[in-house]
Amino acid sequence: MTQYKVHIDKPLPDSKRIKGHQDFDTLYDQYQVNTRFQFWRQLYQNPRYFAGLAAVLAVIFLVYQAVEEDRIMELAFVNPPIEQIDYQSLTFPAGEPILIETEGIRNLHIPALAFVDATGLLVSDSVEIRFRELYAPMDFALLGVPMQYDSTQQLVAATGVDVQAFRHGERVFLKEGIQIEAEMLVMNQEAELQLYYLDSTAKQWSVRQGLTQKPMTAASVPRPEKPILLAQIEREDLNGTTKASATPFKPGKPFGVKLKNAADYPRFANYQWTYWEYLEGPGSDNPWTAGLITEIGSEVGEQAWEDVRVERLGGSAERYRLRFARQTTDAKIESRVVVARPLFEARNQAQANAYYQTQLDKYDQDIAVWQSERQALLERKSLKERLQAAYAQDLRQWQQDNTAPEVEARDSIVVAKPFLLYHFKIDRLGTYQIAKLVARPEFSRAILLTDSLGNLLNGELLAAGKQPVLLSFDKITLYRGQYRNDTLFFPPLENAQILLSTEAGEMAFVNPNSWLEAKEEKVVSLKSEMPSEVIEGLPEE
Amino acid sequence: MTKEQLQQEHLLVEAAKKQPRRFGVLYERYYEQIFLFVFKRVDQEESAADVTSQVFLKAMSNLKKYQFRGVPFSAWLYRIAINEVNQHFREVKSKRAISMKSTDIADIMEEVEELPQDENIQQMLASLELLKPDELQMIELRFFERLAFKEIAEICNITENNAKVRMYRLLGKMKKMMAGDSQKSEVRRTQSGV
Repeated sequence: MTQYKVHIDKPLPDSKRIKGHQDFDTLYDQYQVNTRFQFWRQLYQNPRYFAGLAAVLAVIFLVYQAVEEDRIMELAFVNPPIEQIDYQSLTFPAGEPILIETEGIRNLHIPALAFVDATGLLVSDSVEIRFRELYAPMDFALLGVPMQYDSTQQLVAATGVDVQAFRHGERVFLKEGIQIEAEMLVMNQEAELQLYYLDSTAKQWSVRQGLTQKPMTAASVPRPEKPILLAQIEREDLNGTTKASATPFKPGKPFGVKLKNAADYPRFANYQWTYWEYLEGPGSDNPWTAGLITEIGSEVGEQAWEDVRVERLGGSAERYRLRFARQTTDAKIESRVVVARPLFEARNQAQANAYYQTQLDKYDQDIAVWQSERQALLERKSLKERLQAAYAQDLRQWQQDNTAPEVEARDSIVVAKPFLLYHFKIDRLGTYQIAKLVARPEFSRAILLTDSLGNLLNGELLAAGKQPVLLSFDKITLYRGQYRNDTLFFPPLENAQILLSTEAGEMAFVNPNSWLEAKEEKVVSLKSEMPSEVIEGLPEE
Repeated sequence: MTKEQLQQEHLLVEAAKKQPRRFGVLYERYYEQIFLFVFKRVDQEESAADVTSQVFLKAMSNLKKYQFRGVPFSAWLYRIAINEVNQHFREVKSKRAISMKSTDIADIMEEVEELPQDENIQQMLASLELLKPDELQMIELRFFERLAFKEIAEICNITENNAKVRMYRLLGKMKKMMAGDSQKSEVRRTQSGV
């Protein structure tokens, strides 16, 4: 039995018939289907590849977890400090203790030689202390300081302070074992306050021990200081010279003469023409106005009288007397005297002109400098006068405020008011707050109705008869929200002062009287009043 | 194919690697050739179309593995086609066909140095029956498809020199087989007293 069928000269399908079987599109579709999961099929078939992929995925997952946590923490930290909350700065010799006292920071006592640099070397020359007082909750928000304590609690600050130290612009640190004593004033709170420190690396608050409180007494009430004028004036350097420099002298136009007695003066012997600068003064005629010199446009002039003779004057300066003489119509000799300085550098008219132009240019520069100095002088004088006037006013006010009855009345109010003085120690520079913990509320939602173009958002909600949830504000709680599209997430507190920040770092405050308008991801405007149709739709409170 | 034509084709293949849609050019160029190659073996038009489609699908799917070796792209297609035809017969269990022209037979007879007489032709055909599949394939590629040794080498994955040597030995084998048959027929004639 044969295993093959043998055909000799059997007719084969012709080209047209064969072409009928051609279908590249179908083939291509099939190819796409076949190759869709080609990679995964190969992977499945090859255990080594599969194991390798699993390992890679595991690594990616672990990295993602770590990065995602960082990202979330960074979002919580929001933006870098807002510059409007600026540091106060004080530079002092590092070898001396310093006491900083302000209205809120009652007392910040820094010991001598308290700082080391990044290498651990003691700072002994000078130190710049930068500090910020954080009174209002908004201060924390504007500084980009997170307020959440953990996943279930957040902090409500009574007050806070941020202390940093620098040496020649480089950050320095508290020496180990050194502590800064701090006292801060807060309004008395029903809840117990604790001291918290912000670890800016971990971006987390932690409780610190050692917060003690003292009741306020009249003695601990800070007194306004008597105004000081001198320090301010010294700081502005207004005690410097107030005398203006002399007005620059405009150079006179040189003139040329042919000396009759040049031979008497060897210095002039080689000059056919000599060029001179007129020196104003007694016994010196102005050659221009006296008609002794002929003007030649803007160029140096030439003698108009035929006889000019020179005579050296005494003294160290190069001063000569030029005697101009001519015969008058009635045959008399008329003479005039001009005191002048020779221009030995000019041997001809062109050189004299060049010299004159140089002198004029220098004069223009001198005038500009002089005018600038004069202007600065006038401004300093004006500032000094203003400071003196302000000082006089402050002094009068201080004197009024510090009469005995006034002081007594103020003290009684302050003492009666529930102020507390808290004391703590700083062993690490950074941000501290005296605060209480509250439970982090669940989020509720406030819905924007329209964007800045007036487009109705969430129209379906309105159509369904649902109203946006808004908040009334008679307590103050700080919350940093994030705006996404057309919804804002707020805690369901009855009252909140909302600071709205966008991912672009823009911030806006939302209060009961404001209406937020937004477009896409941006807060574009904040109006002072809500539209009436929204107010009408609000549920009764 | 000239050297320039080979280069041109190589560029087409490279383009198709990057954009599979461009494989269509090669598809158009070689479809008929591969179809006929397959048809001569499977002996049915519809089956030939299916197998040919599979050949080009395989080629397209594995195009990235193709490496230019100075022979036409069709050599690679032939290799795939041979595998697909073998696969077809494993699945279908029908007889493989051998299709040839009279002129192909004359060429073989010349190579085996026999006259193209009926008896000799029958012996030659009988010897084809006794060849191994890869041996038969070489005969078909050389004499029926009329491919060059270089292409045959590429298809069979051997060197060109090897292809020539194998062909020489194969023809020698066929010659011996045919001679053995002729002896048997002479014996039969002798025995019958003719």
